[in-house]
Amino acid sequence: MANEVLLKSRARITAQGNGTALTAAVDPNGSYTGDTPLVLNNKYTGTENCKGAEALQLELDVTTHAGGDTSAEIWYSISEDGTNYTKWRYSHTVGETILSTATPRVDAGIFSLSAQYTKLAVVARDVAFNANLYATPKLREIQ
Amino acid sequence: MTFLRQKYKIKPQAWGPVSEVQASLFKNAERIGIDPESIGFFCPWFLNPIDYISGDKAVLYGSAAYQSDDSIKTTGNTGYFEFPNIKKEYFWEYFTFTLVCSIADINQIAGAAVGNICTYNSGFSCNFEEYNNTGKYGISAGSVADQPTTLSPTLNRIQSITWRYKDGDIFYINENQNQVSHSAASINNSNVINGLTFCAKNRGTIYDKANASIYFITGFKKVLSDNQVNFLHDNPYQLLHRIPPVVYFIPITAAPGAISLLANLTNATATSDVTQTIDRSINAALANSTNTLDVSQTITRDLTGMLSNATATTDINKTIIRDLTATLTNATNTTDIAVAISGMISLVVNLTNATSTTDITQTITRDISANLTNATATTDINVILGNVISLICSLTNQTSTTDLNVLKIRDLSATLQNATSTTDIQKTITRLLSANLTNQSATTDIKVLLGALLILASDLLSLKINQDSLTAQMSQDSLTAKIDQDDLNVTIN
Repeated sequence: MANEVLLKSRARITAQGNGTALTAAVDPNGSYTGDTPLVLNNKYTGTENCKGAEALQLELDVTTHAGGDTSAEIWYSISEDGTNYTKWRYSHTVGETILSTATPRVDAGIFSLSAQYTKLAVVARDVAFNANLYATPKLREIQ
Repeated sequence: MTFLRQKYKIKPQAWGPVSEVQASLFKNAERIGIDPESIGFFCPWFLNPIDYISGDKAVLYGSAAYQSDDSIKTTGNTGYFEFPNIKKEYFWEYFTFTLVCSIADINQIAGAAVGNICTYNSGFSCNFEEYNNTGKYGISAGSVADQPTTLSPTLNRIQSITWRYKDGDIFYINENQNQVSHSAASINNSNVINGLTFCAKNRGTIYDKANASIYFITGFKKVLSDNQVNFLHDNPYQLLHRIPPVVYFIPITAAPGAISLLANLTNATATSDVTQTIDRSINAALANSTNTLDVSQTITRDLTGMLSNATATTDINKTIIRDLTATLTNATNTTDIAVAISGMISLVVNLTNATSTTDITQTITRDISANLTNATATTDINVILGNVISLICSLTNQTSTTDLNVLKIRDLSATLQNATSTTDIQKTITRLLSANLTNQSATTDIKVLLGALLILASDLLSLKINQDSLTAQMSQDSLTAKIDQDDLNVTIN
């Protein structure tokens, strides 16, 4: 059979937990509150959690939402040595408004990986809420 | 009309980082023949309306509000939004704007503008706007304001509209790709102000607000061709789709075994790892061999490796026996056997020259070599090898010189029984005798051996031998008891 280029998924990662409420309108460079983001390791030498993935499919699972419509933003910080990380930068806004008091699980878009180490954080734009940010590494593979 | 894929009519999910979006935007533009440098404004997502070229963010006024469907909506002709810092130079002499929007049917207000581009404080603006309280929309430009055509888009429907401006001519294309043009006054560039306004006109003051939902805006700093405009009408989100980097991973199962072996050796951290890897590779090579020669070569190489690592004579003997057995077991014809034996002979020659093995081992190997060299038939070879194996097994377990002598004579007996010519018998006896003498340490032993063998040889050469007599002679418990000093002296003389 001829080779096929398939989109492969690695195990889903909790990039940021929901233990701490995300304060509204504060980006991670400021007095940000929220769970410490997990390091997403894209090296390819052992048991890294991303291991050569080209992108992350993101899901935002809102678990507590006091009230008020809000949008959510994905921010990122990268490193090439696992020690020295860049300032946090805006990536994109989740393409769906989180309506008042609702606790949906929404498509949080795609993050393209380019650095060896990446951290992702969620910013609540208008109203505070608690949420898990899940990331599923995606890569193309010849089979 | 060019039509790529259905998904280009559907707005893709949000993604980032911003730099990656820009990279894909420029690549997508090149694919359809648009110079990436000509893109001056690109705002795809409106929950956070940012121009991906300049970074300028929209400011909302009045009823303008973000919607859960990722748009900005104005209602009641009371809201609008603008990007105040977009450079005026981008859009004043040549430009094309594409807008994905839905225009509400309550906009039957004269001059209500959905898009306002290239504006200055008095007089000129280039608008997409309602025409004279008719509910129809068209274009207007310059001092000849509010003179849109009567070509109207469908209201309350998400659609792509485009208008272009070049040297006083403005063109408008609606969702059906109908195109009209309208002449207008030229722009006085010195009076143009920065910024873009949507859902209202902006001539220093805001007026003629419109009700609409805006989903996607792209501004080009040049006049696109008809084909390019029509393409973007058919595929409004083509520019927004992500182009992933080309990175492929080849599973290890699809690679040749050599790659696997190399990778394993590269990652080995101890000598034992290397040895295990090579052993597994040998096994894999045997499993994949397609003929006897492959098998023989593999065995020979494997054997060499094992002999090199042997630390005791016992190891060497076991290695030889196992290798020989394995080779013969896999042989399917005489040629295979000959090849295998040839390999063994080479091995034996090497062993003969070794300086670290014991005298017993040297004797064994020389004996094997002599017998094999002189064999003339496959049957002989097989028999000899079988006897040699038995001899080796027996010798391995012996502890005294006497035991060894007895065993060698028995081996001689077995060899002679299977000999098919007189020449074979003579050579065998002579060589074995030589070997035995070499290993004796007392005169008495030598004499005993010589006597016994000469009697035997004499019988054989006279063709008096038969199976019974040979067996009877060789089965005597002590040849020494039947020979006295006189016999021995006579025979030697």
